[in-house]
Amino acid sequence: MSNQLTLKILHAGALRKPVVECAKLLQEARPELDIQLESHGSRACARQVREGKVVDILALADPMLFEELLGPEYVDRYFIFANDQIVLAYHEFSRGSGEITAQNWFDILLKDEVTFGRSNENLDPCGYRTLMVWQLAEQYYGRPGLFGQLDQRCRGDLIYPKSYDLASDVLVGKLNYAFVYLCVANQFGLRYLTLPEKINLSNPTYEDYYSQATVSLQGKNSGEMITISGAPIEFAIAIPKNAENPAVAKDFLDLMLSHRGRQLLEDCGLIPY
Amino acid sequence: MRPVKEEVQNPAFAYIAGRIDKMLVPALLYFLAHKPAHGYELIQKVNGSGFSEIEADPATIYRNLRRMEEDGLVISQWETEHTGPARRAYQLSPEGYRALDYCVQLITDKVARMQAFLEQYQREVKGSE
Repeated sequence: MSNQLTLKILHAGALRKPVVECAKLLQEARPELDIQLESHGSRACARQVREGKVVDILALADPMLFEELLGPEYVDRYFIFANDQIVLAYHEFSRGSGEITAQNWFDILLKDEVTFGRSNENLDPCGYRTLMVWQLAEQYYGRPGLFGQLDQRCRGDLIYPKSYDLASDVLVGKLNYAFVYLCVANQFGLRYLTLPEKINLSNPTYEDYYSQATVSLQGKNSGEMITISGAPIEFAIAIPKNAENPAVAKDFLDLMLSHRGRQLLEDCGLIPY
Repeated sequence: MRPVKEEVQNPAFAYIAGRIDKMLVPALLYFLAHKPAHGYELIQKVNGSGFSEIEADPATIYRNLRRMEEDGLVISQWETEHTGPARRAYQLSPEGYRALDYCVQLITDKVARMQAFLEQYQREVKGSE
């Protein structure tokens, strides 16, 4: 049908399930809609919009990206709608999983036979948040050099474009462990280790503590580097200023932020606001 | 203070009474009585105040806020008057103010009973040594 209304949604991989579930709900109410979903790491999503990609909904895993890469040219308002935490996901056959605890996880990861992954900090907020968790862990556990040891062991192919891909490889046994959001571990039905609140970037009570961790990233322009500080993990959603179908986008946004949407987000392991 | 006990109708009040020892709901109602706030800010205030028996994680705070909203104690709306980040802000409803009065009554009764216990202990146990 040539005049079919299209809703284009670009979202963080971590938000795959809640976005799909909300899209299904909207599709039931509006069967005439053609809903197109695409996911990447959130920094990659934001860069695509900057480079000219036109979408109706943009849902990202870090509100800071709207300020840093998109505002006010591409997005002038965004809704911070959920909270999450970094966990260490694994499967039942991951090496050392029978003995891993919140007190010894780093010793398990540093064993020769164990593999673990993280996502790329320049493409995915889960990547820079993982590096922050490692920095905070060094201080929290009183283990000087821990960050460097973990960083040295997690190189090359063990750095993925987005956390969703990491979880997928843990599920099939390609990786023993991965640092992902709790909602991603839940979406894949993975086992996970909850890290202490002082390092898992979940709780606004520790906002100042988290901010001690910093990571350098590629900035807005080629060759530019920026430094970002640790903060509680939050997700945000917006209708870009150049959306082709803002009215339908608003229907989707309202649904995500509604009572029903909050329930869906919670079912997917997020903490909805 | 109004005769709160005769006014108890909302099932939320029974929920509050059953969990008064944790002091989480009274603390949330108290901070919202000062001014509307979003969850992020409330987490920091509740955990910074020492009022609550537990250090509340975000999931606990947001679940309680959602429940309080469903029970009609708070009203939420997105702050959208400015450009930039928008957050869901919570404010107390008239029923929420009544719930806060009810909490104060429960806490007052509890403090009176504990005070009586301490006085009796001082008089009859420590005093007789």
